[in-house]
Amino acid sequence: MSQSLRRAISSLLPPLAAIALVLLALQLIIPLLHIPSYILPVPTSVFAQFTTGRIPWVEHTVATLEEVLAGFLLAVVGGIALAVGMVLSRPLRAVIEPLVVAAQVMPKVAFAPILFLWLGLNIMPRILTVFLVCFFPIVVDAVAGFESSEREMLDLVTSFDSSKLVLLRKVQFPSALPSIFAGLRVAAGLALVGAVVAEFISSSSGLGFLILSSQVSLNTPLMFAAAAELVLMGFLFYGSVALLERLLVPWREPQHA
Amino acid sequence: MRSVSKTYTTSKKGVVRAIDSVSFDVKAGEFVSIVGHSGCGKTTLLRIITGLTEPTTGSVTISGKAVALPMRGVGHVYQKPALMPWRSAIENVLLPIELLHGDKESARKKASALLASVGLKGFESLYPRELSVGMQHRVSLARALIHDPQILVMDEPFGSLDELTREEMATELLKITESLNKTVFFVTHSVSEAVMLGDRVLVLSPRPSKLVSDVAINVPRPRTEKVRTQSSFIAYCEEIRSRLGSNLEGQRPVQ
Repeated sequence: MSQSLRRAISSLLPPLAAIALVLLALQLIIPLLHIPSYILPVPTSVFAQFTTGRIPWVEHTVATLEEVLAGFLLAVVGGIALAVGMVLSRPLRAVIEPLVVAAQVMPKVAFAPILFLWLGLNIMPRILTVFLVCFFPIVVDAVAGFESSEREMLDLVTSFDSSKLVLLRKVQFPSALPSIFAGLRVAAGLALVGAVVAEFISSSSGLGFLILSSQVSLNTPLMFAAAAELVLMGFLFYGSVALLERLLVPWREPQHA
Repeated sequence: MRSVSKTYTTSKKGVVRAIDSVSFDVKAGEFVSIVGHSGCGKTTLLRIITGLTEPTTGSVTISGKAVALPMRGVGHVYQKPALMPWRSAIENVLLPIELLHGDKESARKKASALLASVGLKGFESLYPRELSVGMQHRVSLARALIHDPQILVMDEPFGSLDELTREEMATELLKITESLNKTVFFVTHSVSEAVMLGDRVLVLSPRPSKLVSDVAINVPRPRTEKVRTQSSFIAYCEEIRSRLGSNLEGQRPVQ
């Protein structure tokens, strides 16, 4: 484990060094070219935003995180439940599968304003926007996963007169886990998009709100700072999902992405 | 010992006649090899024997009773090891016990012994991906035997192995089945495997599959891999090859 940790750190080092180098270059070049701060602020003034004490960073972070986690978890539970239903019931599947596949190409965030109209200006429509963008990739990949079981394995378990539920629990669900996690990783990336777009539409807190409100006051360093934190949040969220996958699907060969 | 007998008549699969009026009887404890070209319906035949597929016409009876769908608790060995990658070797072996709601803990000892008998002592806790393909096949053989099935069904169990491993596995299977006294259906397209292991060899013709001949192999048991060099063994192989060959004209292997 410590060896794999060391390997992880050593694989992170080159890209981190590259980022540091780019930041350093920006720090030096921006003043030389006389680019105004409201167009492109120097990195130090962006990072200074975190320490001014004027911005309640924790509050904004928690607000966005709440939307992301609630919407994502809702999509995980709902998505996997629907996929199980589709695997167990042929008629349900015949109705729903084409709709789910079609929904993949639909711009789900387009429905966010309608959700606000229906549910009012509170956290619910923001959570549901996140849910909406996460739900479909999870369902599609989960169904594909349930379908991926080896025929021999299914035959073997069936030959013991096992019920559909036993088949699902002993064969289909474990075989589906890698594919389910592929869906979760896609959804993890989309979750933040959903949250930020929803905050753009209506919110009084959150990192998306912060970006929009600092745009109004032309506080470009603050916009960059909020965006930077979103990037970090996205990485950590995706990383947690990937870590969970390694814990729950240890039989899978580690992937190098 | 109970007398097991099976009778088939015609079976149709869709419009294609996969199996055409195949009938035979099998005595309990007999090792029946089934040879035929790829795609001649051997797998379908096995699925009918075990009740996973219903015959279009005809029936299968065991000890006078028609086979119910699906026949519970037959030992299965497939062309692929079909192990669950999320279970260790021993947990894979114990799967049938679990599905039959047996006592898993008390079966653990037997599972270890079975793994040892297929040469996997000490590999109990390893996962399939940590085992070689040959080892995975041995685990799947142990899994087929754990619940002491009356009938063992093997569908080209060594089909995906390389020549050397294949011979090794056949020899090992010989050793194991010599002492088992089970009714075994062993599908293969290796004539020498069929003769070495079988009490009888059923030769099937290509689609639609017909029983071309039923050769009793009168090579005394216990046999060892040395039978491969006996003149009677070679004669049997020749005979079966000639029966197979007569149906080969214009036939392309399917699958």
